[in-house]
Amino acid sequence: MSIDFFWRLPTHGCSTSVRNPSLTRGDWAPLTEGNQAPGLYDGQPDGSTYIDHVAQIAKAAEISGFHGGLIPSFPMTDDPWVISSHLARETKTFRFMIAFQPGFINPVETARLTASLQRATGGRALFNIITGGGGPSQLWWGDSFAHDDRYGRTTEFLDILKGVWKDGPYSQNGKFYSVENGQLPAALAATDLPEIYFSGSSDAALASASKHADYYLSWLEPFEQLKSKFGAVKEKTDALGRKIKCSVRVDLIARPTEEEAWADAKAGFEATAHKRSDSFKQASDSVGAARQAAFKASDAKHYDELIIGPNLWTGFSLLRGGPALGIVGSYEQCAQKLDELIALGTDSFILAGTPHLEEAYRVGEEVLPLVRGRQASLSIAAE
Amino acid sequence: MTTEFYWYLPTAGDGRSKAFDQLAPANDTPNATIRDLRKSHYTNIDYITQVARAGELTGFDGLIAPDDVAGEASWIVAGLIARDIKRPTIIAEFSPGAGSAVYFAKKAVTFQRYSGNRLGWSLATSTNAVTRKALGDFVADTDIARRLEEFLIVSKGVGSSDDFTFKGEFFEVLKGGFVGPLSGWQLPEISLSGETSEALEISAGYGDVHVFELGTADLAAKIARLKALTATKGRTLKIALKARIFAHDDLDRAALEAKRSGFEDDSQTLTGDYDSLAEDLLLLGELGVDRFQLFAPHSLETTYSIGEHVLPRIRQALRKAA
Repeated sequence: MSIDFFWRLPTHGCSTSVRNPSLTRGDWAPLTEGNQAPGLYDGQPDGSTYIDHVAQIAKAAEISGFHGGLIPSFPMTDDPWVISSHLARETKTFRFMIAFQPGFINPVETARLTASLQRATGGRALFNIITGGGGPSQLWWGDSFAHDDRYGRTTEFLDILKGVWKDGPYSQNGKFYSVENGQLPAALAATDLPEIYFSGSSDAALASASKHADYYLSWLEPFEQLKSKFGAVKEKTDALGRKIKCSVRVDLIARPTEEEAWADAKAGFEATAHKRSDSFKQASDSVGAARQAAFKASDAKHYDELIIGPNLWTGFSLLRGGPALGIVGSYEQCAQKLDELIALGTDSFILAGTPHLEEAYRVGEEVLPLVRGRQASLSIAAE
Repeated sequence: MTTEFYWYLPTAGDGRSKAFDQLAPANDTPNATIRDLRKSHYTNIDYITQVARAGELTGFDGLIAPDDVAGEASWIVAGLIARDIKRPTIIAEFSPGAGSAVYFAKKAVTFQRYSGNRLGWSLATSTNAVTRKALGDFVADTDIARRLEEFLIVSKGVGSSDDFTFKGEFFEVLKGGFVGPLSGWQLPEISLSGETSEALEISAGYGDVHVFELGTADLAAKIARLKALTATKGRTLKIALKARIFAHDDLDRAALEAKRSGFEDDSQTLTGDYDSLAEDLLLLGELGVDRFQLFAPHSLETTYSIGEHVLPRIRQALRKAA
């Protein structure tokens, strides 16, 4: 069975180089040398905006063989629904993985939005449902549910979204959402439901995932830990009657040689030394975020203190917002790591590299062709 | 005085879409004699984008994606046309019952960033409880206005401050608002509607545009009253008039089209040749209408005929008067 590879669209700027990772593409940082701040030329508007850069990345990703991209959503980012609809008509095969929380939009409205996007794109919408987070950041969004409550809400949300789409007229009287005789118009109802990527490491999350998710999505974690996590997810969801697939979201620094790759990781580590901050020291009750924070990347004095295994480095959270652990190596080594992840149960990947535009081509052209997938799994298992 | 012209996009299809899309009331049987290469490549959305471009090319000031439950979602349609439409304002119509006020404000910020402040909001909730419940919205009739007001307070609050806290009955937020490049964008222009005193009070307090329908009784008096009410709050707002329209160079042919479509002698419909329509619209302008929001069963053709023939007449007349 083949593996799905997605890329990531940066929704709050990007850098021109992982060796000097300040946000130089997009308007999240002032116009400086090396900068491409869309909309500005010599400080004056030039008619383009950040969506023009995001469009470049989406096209690079589809041209170089990715299925599509994850479009993340945080308080400081641009919005994935707006990005998806803006890019729908100028991409051909790119699939839009929209990150959102059920508290943002009600389930019937979400069904209408998504089915319309399916019609506009020939079925290229999918979801990354986020239920984690919590604490003050959740109240920033205007959402005050407790952690375990939120997974119950996600389950109801997806019950109703699927119900009005495929089983209308649909009624449900829930704790969080209700609907009475809800139904999409026939033309919208005829579109396919989006595939659902689901995150969350708690028991409450897994119970909800087993009912509605197609893929269980995790950040990269140490391989043995990830293997048991995926094993548990598949076992538990199988027991609950619906086996789901597993997906890993991971950044890579892939270069022609391992030396070049580590040199770039080292350069990025040193370039950010003066403003050392770990993007995971934030108020949140997310279990996954706590696991990444446990790597304590910001305490390291030298980049190689963060190497936790062959081609595995926990310094990525120092280079950009996001998880700590990622892959550093030659094209062959990166492909080998992906094969190892496939062998331990990964069915899909969301990859990323900096800069997102050029690295989409590089990873698509140089790394993906070397991935052997299930064939490799057999030989690794035999070793 | 300037008069603005907006066009409603046929998000739920119009007289055209039955030829190629299931949104139509009845599908035509394909003619097997003709080799058809379209397969499933086209939907109503492709047509909508053509209507949007027609509006831009013929001089309309804005395009409205209505919140029609029988059609495509308004926010998606607004986004789909946004990369092609460079000048006109794009209005997304939706209900405050559709989601969180903070989240809609956040989507608006992205849209404003990409479009250069060209997004507008038209906020409306169905007055029919059955329709609302089918949309997952169980708000009581008597709470619709209060919820709208809270939605406006919160979305405007987080749109203009980065430390906004509010706890209402329908919406809440703690230290909300946008920073960095997400801050400093204009709030979408707010279009509201309704004739109750509650509705007019909210428009006077929060609205940028109040939309009446053609055929509203005592329109001139209502317009004057609303403008006066708004002035007491130290604000101004525009008056928009929504109307169906049939236009032809021959008055009789325009009337024939209206009759065919079932809108003969309809109080919400304007029918005429180009000269008479221009006169009618100018007269309505004198009553205080600042913006016309038009639609037709034949969206594309009518956009062109209005944009190419009626709009120039009105603009020329207004220039002469000025």
